[in-house]
Amino acid sequence: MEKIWKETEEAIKAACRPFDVTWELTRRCNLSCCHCYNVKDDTEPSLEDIALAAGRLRRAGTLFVTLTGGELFCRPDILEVLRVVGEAGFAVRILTNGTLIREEHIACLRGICLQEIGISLYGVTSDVHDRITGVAGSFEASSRAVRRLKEAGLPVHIQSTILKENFDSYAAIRRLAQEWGVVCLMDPVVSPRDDGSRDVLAHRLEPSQTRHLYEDYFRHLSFPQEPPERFLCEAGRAMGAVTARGDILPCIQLPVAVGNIFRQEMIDVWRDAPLLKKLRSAAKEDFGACATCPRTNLCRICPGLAFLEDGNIFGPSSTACFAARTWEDYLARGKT
Amino acid sequence: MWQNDAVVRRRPECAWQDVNGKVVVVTGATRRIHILDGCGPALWLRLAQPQRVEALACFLQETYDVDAARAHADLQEFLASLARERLIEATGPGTDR
Repeated sequence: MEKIWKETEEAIKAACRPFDVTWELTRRCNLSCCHCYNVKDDTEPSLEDIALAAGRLRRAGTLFVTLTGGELFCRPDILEVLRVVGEAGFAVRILTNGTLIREEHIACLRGICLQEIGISLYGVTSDVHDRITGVAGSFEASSRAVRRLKEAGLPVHIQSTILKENFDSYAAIRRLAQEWGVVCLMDPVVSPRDDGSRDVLAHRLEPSQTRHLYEDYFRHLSFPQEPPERFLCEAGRAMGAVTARGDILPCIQLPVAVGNIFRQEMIDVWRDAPLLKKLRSAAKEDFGACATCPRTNLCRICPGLAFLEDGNIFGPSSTACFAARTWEDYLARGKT
Repeated sequence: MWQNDAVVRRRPECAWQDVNGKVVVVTGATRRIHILDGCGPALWLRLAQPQRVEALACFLQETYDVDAARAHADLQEFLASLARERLIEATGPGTDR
């Protein structure tokens, strides 16, 4: 079975079909997180648009969809949306703050092919969490959602962006997740906002804090001795994204539209878009200084962050460079 | 053992996609990934609607030019593995396992 899966996984990647798509279904949100990249407005595809897009994603080869926003459960028709997406035959992941989840939502989630539901949590007290979200009571509501979804037997996990504001809480968040019996995913990455504004970057950790987090939290990772077979991730190959406006992106992190799913067939866009072809054929040598970098086996370059932070999709990413240098120092000190 | 008059279909909460002629199926219940090859994809497509076991065996016999005994044996094995992984469900009268 393992051999068959490996062959199938290779076939999925070689086929360059959008097997795994992040799908933004609203830009509305009931919270105002200080670090969020989302620019809130009322943009939201109709149920008919969603059904149209679902059909196009299916024909293009999509199996996994990650539904996100904004805040998904701000949609008053979310039950109908989940039904449409479920009936279209997708395996569904959901990213949400959880504050608006009710019992009727939980019942609906049981009836679809739900793989994961990630709840954003930024602290273990309302002091810390609510200050980040900008909404009093959000910690209690999100915590309640995690516990209720766990009780209901649904595959819930916590996801936490670690900022200056909650750096002192990250170990406690991890302990709280263990107490609740859920996985906790943490990340210090803060992206510029979708409108290009960089003010959110002020919430990023200091370099010393990021180093501390990496060394503590990622200590269990092992890195291959040789560079990976392919320098880039699956953005524009087996992985893609669709925005609330229907724009098709190589990845949710790379906000360069290559088409629009409400006006075009996804399968045609995915096959023909020049940027996607370039991403698929790109090698380390196409990324400027990366061509001669000795740390590529430690590097997890993201072309989206390279574009947003450094202005060039096909160039080094300062975030990836910092992470790779941190790991190199860590390994050199013999703490493997 | 599935009786000939048993009626089976795909579980509606399974997600699936065709990948180069194989079918990749993901379940909600177990969150596992399954790959169907050989005659599996053709049977999976038919199971979108409730199907009598006997009709599926005839389909295999005609499509793959095998004798009835072989078709029934292969089908039983296939349905057993799908049922074990909660990819199919029995519906209608005359169902048995």
